Amino acid sequence: MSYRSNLERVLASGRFAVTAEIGPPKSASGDAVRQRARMLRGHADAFNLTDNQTAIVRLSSVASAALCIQEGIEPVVQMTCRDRNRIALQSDLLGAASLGVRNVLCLSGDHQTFGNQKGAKNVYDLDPIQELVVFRRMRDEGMVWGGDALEQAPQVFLGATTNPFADPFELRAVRLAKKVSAGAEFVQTQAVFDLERFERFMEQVRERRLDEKVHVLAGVIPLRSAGAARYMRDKVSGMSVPDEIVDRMKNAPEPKKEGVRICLETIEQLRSVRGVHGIHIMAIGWEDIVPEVVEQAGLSPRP
Amino acid sequence: MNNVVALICSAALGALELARENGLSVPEEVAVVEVPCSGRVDEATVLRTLRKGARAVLVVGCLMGNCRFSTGNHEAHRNIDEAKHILRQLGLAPERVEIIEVSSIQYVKLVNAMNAMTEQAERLGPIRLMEGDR
Amino acid sequence: MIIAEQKEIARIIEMIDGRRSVLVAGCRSCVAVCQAGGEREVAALAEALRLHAAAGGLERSVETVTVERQCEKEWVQEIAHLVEGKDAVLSLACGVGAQVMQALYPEVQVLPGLNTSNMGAPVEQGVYEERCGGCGDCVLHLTGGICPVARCSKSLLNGPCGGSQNGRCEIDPETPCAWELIYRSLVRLGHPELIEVNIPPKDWMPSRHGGPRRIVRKSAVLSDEERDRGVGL
Repeated sequence: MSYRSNLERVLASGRFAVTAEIGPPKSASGDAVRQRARMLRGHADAFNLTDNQTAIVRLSSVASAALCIQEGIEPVVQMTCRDRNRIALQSDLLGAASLGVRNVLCLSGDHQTFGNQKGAKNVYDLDPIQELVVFRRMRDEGMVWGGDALEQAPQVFLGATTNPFADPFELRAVRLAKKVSAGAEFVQTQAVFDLERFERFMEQVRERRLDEKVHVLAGVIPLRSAGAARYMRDKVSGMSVPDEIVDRMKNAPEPKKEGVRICLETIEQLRSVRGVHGIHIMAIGWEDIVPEVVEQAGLSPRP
Repeated sequence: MNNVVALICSAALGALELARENGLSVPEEVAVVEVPCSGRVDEATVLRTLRKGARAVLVVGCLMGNCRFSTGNHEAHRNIDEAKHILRQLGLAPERVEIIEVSSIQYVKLVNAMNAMTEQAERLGPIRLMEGDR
Repeated sequence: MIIAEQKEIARIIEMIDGRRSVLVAGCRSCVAVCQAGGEREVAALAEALRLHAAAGGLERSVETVTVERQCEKEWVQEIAHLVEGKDAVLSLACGVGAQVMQALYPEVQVLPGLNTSNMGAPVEQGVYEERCGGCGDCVLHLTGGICPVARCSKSLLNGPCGGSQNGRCEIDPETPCAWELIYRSLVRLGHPELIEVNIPPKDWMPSRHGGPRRIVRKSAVLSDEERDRGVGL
């Protein structure tokens, strides 16, 4: 059995997977990406490259992914629907595949009013579910949307995001089911701080037997400060951060250490949730904490 | 054209009579125009009055909850807000138009307002563009 | 209806700078409802422009007219005598009306007094919300009567996204999450199963993305003879 990517291989083998994130710089130089890639190499099974996250212009995710491949790490290219129509999305998938990319994550992307290009036209030609449908057809039927044949199909492992902490709660597992039927083979969740709600979500996931069809990687964010915890609780739509966590950070004499401790506790609990096949560490701006987290969580070395 | 034009609703007009009966003099510079309800005064009317030479416009309506047309005075407030908004946009002083609420026995309040408006008109002088920056 | 807002008076004054005679032309239709360009707004703006001229010692004559619907030639044709000789027409109609006006009077510049915004409805007096995305391929039967193109910030056809919280859209707490509304509506209508259906990629050709649109209602188009006999417009 040949796997399209290392990430797919790890997940298929039943090993608990680890993915992490690299945030590309606001720069025409790829040095920052290369440095982070070198530092993170070996500490996760694959690394997400974010796509103009928060609608702030950064070095593109596809280009960043190419740099990562040069540095010997496996990328997951995030492709939002916000900036590209179906022509550009399909073209970029071919481009990414030609450069060696084998994992793609389909997501809607933060609305441009969040970023530094508020006056930009909003594309959203496709939504992430349609993006999955289109990409899967390219891969499995070797044709673009509309039927024109591709000389060579992109062989990619398809992923999506899922957010157990957004509303309405009863729709979250439904939406995951829609993504799975559209082609999602793995999903990464929004950061888990609220274990109780996450477990309720996973219960619904298991009830629908989605855990047999898709690999769920639970997201975690190591908190750097009480301010960060508060911000996520109060200002970020779709995140659920219990007050106890904010309090722990507030009262900690060494916030960063406490943040790592909370992260490790969360990972420990997530490992025992049936249907969770891995974790996705989002440490944007603090990528160098990832090796420590992976090691202390007992997830080193990677297979 | 007088410096100040007061547009007073019929119900509040009785206050003027009371003022005279009680020996309180109404400033001469103020031209009094009776309107059926303060809500009848729209923003175009205010602007036209200023264009015709008035320096200030005072709209007098009834107390909230006391309008004989139910909510005419509410509309009056919204109209005067709009008139002020337009004056600001034109670079003119929004204080050239004001609205007050009186009951027909509040003759002191009415006369005081008319005096205040007269002083305001004196201070503001004739209408000039860019005066709103002062 | 079409929702529009008056431009700031300072912008309007810049546009009419130097024009000695101006006709302010309003419309009794949509823009009257959203109180941007109806008869009342025409009167107020005309007075404002006259006051501005008087205060600044400028020579300016401002006339006014409000037509039934500025987007239909029949009514716009009727005001030819008012347009003639003017330096400019300041249209307080929506962008459609302003263009019809200009097309009918090509020698007199028509200036847009309004910023035309969207297709929407009054929620209450003074409050107008966008409702229709004008996509040319309506899916309201699949979404419980709520337009995902216009009312979802991301125009998702398979929503909601992960930013939906407490029924609000992540971009603005004042904006309801359209997909939460859609879901609740489908449940109330007895069709909750529709939320589980994947809507495929949309064909945007019938929308503005396919180019400026022209729709012909064949059975209404006149024959040559009817036209010769002067029937219709």
